[in-house]
Amino acid sequence: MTQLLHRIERFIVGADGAFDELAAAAARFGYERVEPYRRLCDRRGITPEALEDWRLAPAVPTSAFKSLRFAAAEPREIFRSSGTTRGAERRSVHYHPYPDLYRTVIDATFPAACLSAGSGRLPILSLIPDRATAPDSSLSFMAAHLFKRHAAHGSAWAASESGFDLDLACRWLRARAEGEPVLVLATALALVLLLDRLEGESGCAIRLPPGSRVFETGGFKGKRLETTPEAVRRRARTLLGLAPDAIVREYGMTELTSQAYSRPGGERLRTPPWMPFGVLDPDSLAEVEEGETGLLAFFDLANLGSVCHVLTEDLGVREGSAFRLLGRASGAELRGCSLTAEELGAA
Amino acid sequence: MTSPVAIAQRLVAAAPALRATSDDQLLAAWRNTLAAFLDPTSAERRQLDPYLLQTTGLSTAGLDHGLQSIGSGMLGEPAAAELRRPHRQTEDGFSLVVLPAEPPGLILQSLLPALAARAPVLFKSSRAEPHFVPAFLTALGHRLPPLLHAYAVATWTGGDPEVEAPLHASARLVVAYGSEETVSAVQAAAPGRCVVFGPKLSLGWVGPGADPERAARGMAVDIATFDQRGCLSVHAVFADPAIAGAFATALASALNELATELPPGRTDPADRAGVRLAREDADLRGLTWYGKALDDGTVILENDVRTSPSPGLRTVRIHPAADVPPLHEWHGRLQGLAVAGDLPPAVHEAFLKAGVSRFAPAGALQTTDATWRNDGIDLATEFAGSTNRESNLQRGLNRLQDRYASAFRRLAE
Repeated sequence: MTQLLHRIERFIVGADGAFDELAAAAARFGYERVEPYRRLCDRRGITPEALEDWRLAPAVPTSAFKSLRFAAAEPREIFRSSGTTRGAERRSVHYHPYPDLYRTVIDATFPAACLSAGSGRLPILSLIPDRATAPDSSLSFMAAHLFKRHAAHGSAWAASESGFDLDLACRWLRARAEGEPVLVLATALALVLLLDRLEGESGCAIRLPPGSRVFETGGFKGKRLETTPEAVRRRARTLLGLAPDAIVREYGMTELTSQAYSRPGGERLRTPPWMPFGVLDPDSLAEVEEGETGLLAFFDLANLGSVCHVLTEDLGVREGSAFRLLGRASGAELRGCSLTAEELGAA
Repeated sequence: MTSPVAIAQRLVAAAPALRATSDDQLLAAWRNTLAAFLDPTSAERRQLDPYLLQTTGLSTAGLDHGLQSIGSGMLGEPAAAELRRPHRQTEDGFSLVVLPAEPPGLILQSLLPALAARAPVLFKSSRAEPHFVPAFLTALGHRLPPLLHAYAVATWTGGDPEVEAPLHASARLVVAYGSEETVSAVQAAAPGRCVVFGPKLSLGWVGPGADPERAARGMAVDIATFDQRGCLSVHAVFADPAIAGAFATALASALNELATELPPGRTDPADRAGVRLAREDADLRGLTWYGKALDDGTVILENDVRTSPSPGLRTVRIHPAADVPPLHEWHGRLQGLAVAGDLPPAVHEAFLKAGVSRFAPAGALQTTDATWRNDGIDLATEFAGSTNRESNLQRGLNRLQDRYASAFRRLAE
């Protein structure tokens, strides 16, 4: 196990090794160590030998993390989703035995995706709660690690148990309008709230120093806001005086250890070499043609501690080596006799 | 295009003529119009159906069945009795009704009580389905011209303050169907003058003594009507553990047969993806599930008594339950219960407390009539005005007091 873990770490930090071989080993490891996964493979007649081709490893729907325990070893971190669905409120739980592998992934992807080349420590404003506030949030784990690695003196957390501290966030941003580039970490919802607050203040627009970046992740957490992610990014560029390439989108989830990122200013998301993705036909679960809509699935080597092949609730479309998010599968929302045209996406 | 505010002003002016219409005139116009809209061979339907099929995505048979379900119960004596009720709007003024995009024909449930109260109404029709309401109101107005000036429809982007603020401020009553956000916005804009219907779903109960085959045939209809997109659509069924397995098998067969009789309509990738994920999740959890094509229906035999909304496409979870199921997560968000077999009083009471306002035999849940009070609310008295609303409230309190008389006495002591 330790050997496989180290081989995966080496692959992540330097692409040392063959992905197919590591993926097959990781799939077999899951079969041996994770009982619900083994049962699924057995029911589908997939033997450990068949897992030599990792593509044959069944993908586990993220919803299963709400009811089943996927743990290849004793967990050292337990991450829970924020629970965006209504009704039977059940949250995904990711039992993570290898948090150092998570840190390795962050170090291997975040600087290249979000930081300008050669930048050292920089002032960071986080609208993501810190670990004391959200000890079971994988995003807070990530933000805490980013602070440890990259935050300069004066960095600040602007989210607490009582919500976002938008006063602090606005003061912090205005105080840094002159000076060195800054980094803002925010969910899409937090960004909307921050922009609303800035817009409501007199002299609302800020011009952040050139080279500043905004790391934006997640959706609106079940809230139906009268806006779109694209519109939010346009507003952010205007109100924060950001360059067109200043916003980097991150795509991640509690059930995965690795993340996909957009190019600065881009919309399409790219996964790292150790997390190939598929866009699957809901009818057959076969890969759809490029340009067709399907369910997104990821084979994340860094998920060795739980299950590597994950079928998400997100719909997307492949565009070359990247993908574009198109929405969510039905199922989480209660909607009888209540959908408006806006929610149906009518023109 | 005339602004909604200007339309509303015209409605106010039409109130006296509306008050002068007799019960018999109204009843004749209502019955003739509704009968035409329930007849797929009528001129009105032949003109309307191509648009409705496009906007609703229902199959031809599905659309016809859905309209029959929502409208056929409003033709007979209960509808006549509704129209003859004494509550009337006595002063001038208009009400605003915000309709959802689906199911088509939902306007009937608010139009009939508005007619009964002689209350002029501006309906906000959804941009996603803008055809049924104007067609129905026009046809009704042609049969009884004073109605042409007292009932109108407009379409605008929901949440536009320039349009909605003056309407919310001047409407005597705002009735809104919508998401939780929409409902909250209306409650804030028209406090004390609104009736709101948020998102809801319905469930099934198959109790001891039920014939699994018969229960399944009925429940399949309650699941498939409107392709499971209405608030009276069944999303999950609690079944007596002794027959849950047999019921699940029978329900899968019934849904499969119904897919031919009542073919599913248009589907989108999100719905198909949702059903696929539900099947994959069931597989992983080792649950028994039945289903062929994704849109023909999926029956999942659960081992967890907690339920969750169906992803749609006639997907339903069967939860074995011999006693009161856990409903606390669903309080205020349940609409109806389709019942087969014995429904113990304690279970009935639990569903009532959770907000269920309609109990019907399996197969008849979605076939409402004029006597059904959505959420227990008597819209005719709401439309009639504040005095009647107070008396309605008082009646509700009296009923509550009757039911909990002993508890009240204890409290008083």
